[in-house]
Amino acid sequence: MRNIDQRAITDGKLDPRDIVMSKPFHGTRLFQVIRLLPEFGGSVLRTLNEQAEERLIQHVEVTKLVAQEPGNTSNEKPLRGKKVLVADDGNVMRKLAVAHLSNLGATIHLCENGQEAVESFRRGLSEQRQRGAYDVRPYDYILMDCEMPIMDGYEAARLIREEEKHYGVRTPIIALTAHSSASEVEKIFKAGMDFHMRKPMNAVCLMKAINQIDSR
Amino acid sequence: MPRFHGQSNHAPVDIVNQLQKQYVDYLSSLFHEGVLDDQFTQLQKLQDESNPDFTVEVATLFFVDSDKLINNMAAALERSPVDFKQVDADVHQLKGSSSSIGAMRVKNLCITFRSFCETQSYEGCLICLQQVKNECAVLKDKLQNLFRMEQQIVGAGGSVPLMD
Repeated sequence: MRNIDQRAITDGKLDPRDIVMSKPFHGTRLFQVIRLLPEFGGSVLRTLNEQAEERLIQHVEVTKLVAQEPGNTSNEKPLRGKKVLVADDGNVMRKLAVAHLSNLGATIHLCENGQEAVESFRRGLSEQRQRGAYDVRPYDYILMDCEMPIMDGYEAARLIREEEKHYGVRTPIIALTAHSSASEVEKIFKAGMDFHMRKPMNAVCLMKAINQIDSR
Repeated sequence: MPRFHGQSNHAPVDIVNQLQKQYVDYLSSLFHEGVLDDQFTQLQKLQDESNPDFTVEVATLFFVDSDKLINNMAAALERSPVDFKQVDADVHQLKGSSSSIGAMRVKNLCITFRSFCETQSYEGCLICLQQVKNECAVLKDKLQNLFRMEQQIVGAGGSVPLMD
């Protein structure tokens, strides 16, 4: 960093700790400043902070660069690339599920009752079989409402587990329930579901459940 | 009022502030009266640029649902003999959707309604049905007010404040 006016320092107009740079602020000069930052291996951050509102250093550009660092945007879409089957007979519930799951990055397939869920699952399995992917499950997770018309969640889960036996796969099934009494929870696990979540669902509970399932 | 090329007409800042304050006061009163609970705030948080009308859409879905369910319940209660299991199933669904939009009073009425279905009390069910009907109408009215206030704020160039 050159071009420091020594007289300005002795006259007290410039703090000797200040970093003074010539304009235009790009190229090598920009890189010199960026290298001062701890994120980029530097250690003179205090000095930079002290001259926060500088006309000489364009702070915005540096912070933009720091923000673009991969670590800062980690896990915004934890379910990116995941396929989730959602079975719920309520249109409000389905819309909420779509909103939560798409925010988390997932691809969603909606069903209105247990029968549709089982059919979607069977179709998914045969599509995988046609592709030769025998041990890949068609869905990464299934969100299953327990009480639905035509076929409820318990029955659907039982049938899905039957299908899976032929293929040697096991899809994590999360039961969605309005109440979580002990008998209800027992019923859920007996039907072969892995986890239960109280309705209405939210992203935090969902990720908690998924993290627990994935860590098994 | 000066116009800026490419921008909508912005009302003076104090008008926007006033509208925002009225909105916050109104929404606060809905929480205070127990009409809405925190789940409604969760819903509003799901609204963003990719989903700009989310809350209105969910509310609309809820009322389509609740109208249908209430009609089903009324029809079931008029039949002889009354199929209380069917009524209960409909109330259960209404309880679910009301709780997911944060309609606390409706949800609580559904809980009471279900206990009357369980004991197969015809009188109790009729009373609950009427209460649920009224409460849904009140909710619809209040939400329409709320959404209109949101539109006014946005139309005046402001942003809708989020409760926390």
